[in-house]
Amino acid sequence: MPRPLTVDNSSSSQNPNILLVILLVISLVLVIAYGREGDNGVLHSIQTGVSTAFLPAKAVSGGVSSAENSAQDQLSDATANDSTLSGLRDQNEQLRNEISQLEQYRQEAQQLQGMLNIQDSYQLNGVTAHVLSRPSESWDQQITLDRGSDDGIRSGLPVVSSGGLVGQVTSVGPNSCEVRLVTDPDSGVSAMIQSNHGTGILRGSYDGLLYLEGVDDSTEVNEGDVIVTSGMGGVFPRGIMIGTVTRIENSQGASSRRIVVTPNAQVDVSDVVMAVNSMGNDGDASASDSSQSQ
Amino acid sequence: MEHNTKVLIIGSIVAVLLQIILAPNIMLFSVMPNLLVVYSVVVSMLLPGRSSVVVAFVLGILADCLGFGPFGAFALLLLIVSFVARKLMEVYGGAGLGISLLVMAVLILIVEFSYAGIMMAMNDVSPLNAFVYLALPESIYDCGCGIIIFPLMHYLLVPARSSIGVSTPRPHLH
Repeated sequence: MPRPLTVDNSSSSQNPNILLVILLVISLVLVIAYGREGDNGVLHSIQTGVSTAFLPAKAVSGGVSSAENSAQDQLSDATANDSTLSGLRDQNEQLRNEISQLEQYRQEAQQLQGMLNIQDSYQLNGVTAHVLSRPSESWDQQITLDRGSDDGIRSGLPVVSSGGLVGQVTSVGPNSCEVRLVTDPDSGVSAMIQSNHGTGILRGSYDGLLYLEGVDDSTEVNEGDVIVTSGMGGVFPRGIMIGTVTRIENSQGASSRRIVVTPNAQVDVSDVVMAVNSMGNDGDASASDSSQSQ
Repeated sequence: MEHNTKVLIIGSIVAVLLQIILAPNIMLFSVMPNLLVVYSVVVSMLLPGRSSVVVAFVLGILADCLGFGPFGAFALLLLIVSFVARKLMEVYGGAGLGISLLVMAVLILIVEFSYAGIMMAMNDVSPLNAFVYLALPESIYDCGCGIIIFPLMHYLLVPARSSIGVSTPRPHLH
């Protein structure tokens, strides 16, 4: 006989309504207080503190992510058919030849790097870190890094990867920090179209894309245009790659033009990023930049 | 400590750990389930009373702490939904599993869409982004998880002797 669906009302005699009202009032007060206090308020600090307290669990999550990626690779390998294997053997041979040639280039590049001193030219200083975990909720586009204030990271620092701008440090603990990604709707980056220096504000959204707003109506924008940081405002150094224009809705000159940008930097667990403390170009826009409407 | 209290505490801890460890790794189309919401709704349906109110508040606060949205928002919504759940289950409590899952789905939708509304109000987010790209798919994902969690919690939580509207109690096994 199937087990009947039942509901336990044995505690209903204790009348939870009073407790419910009390907790509702507390919750409402918390929401209002959170909205009114600044980023350094008590409730914000509690959020950061709890996030730090759950760091070990987030590290385990990172381990699960790595194991998942590894399992996917192994499954893909295990189910590879003959044509895939044949293609892989050809590719392997080709890669061996390329490696030999690249080794030669590498040695040459080392010598050139020594002469040009590339790193000193950009004067990029910062703290490298690994991505510890992905966002814990769908609503939050924030990742956790395994470095914190003990390593010199502070709130507000821009974070970059090999692909370009990743986001900005929002909260810092002793050994970890949270980074708001550029795709977070709360994120706003002063950006520039690399080809014509047209400026605007790049905002994130929940669909994972970026939208370039405030671009002058007369500024020409084309699909494929590279978007970089403009350096205005002094938060993000100038010239850091952000993404590429993938779609323009409505035409140039229309006040309702929507410029859709796909972010270039895609970070995952264990990826290396850098929280930038300083850069040779301190973010001040040059006089030749077009005026920006924000 | 009562059996149900133990189950609630252990279940809450498991829900929190799964939300941190498992949920980010089972994302589908950039959406992950909110197991704290699902667990709180299920407990509110199966154990309407002070316990579910406390669970709703505590898990709501933890959900707010795990994210960076307005602190207290999830707690507020889960408390409201715990009250609504109690009222709905007074009417539909003995109607069967299908109706109960439907009620669970409605309650989850209320929480997720309300939270989307709060996020819209506090951030400059379009309704399309908030409701269609996030709240709706997350609600569907939550309901999918609820289909697993509800029968499990029903089996763990409710002793047969306190059943409502049922003529045959479950026999005790020794």
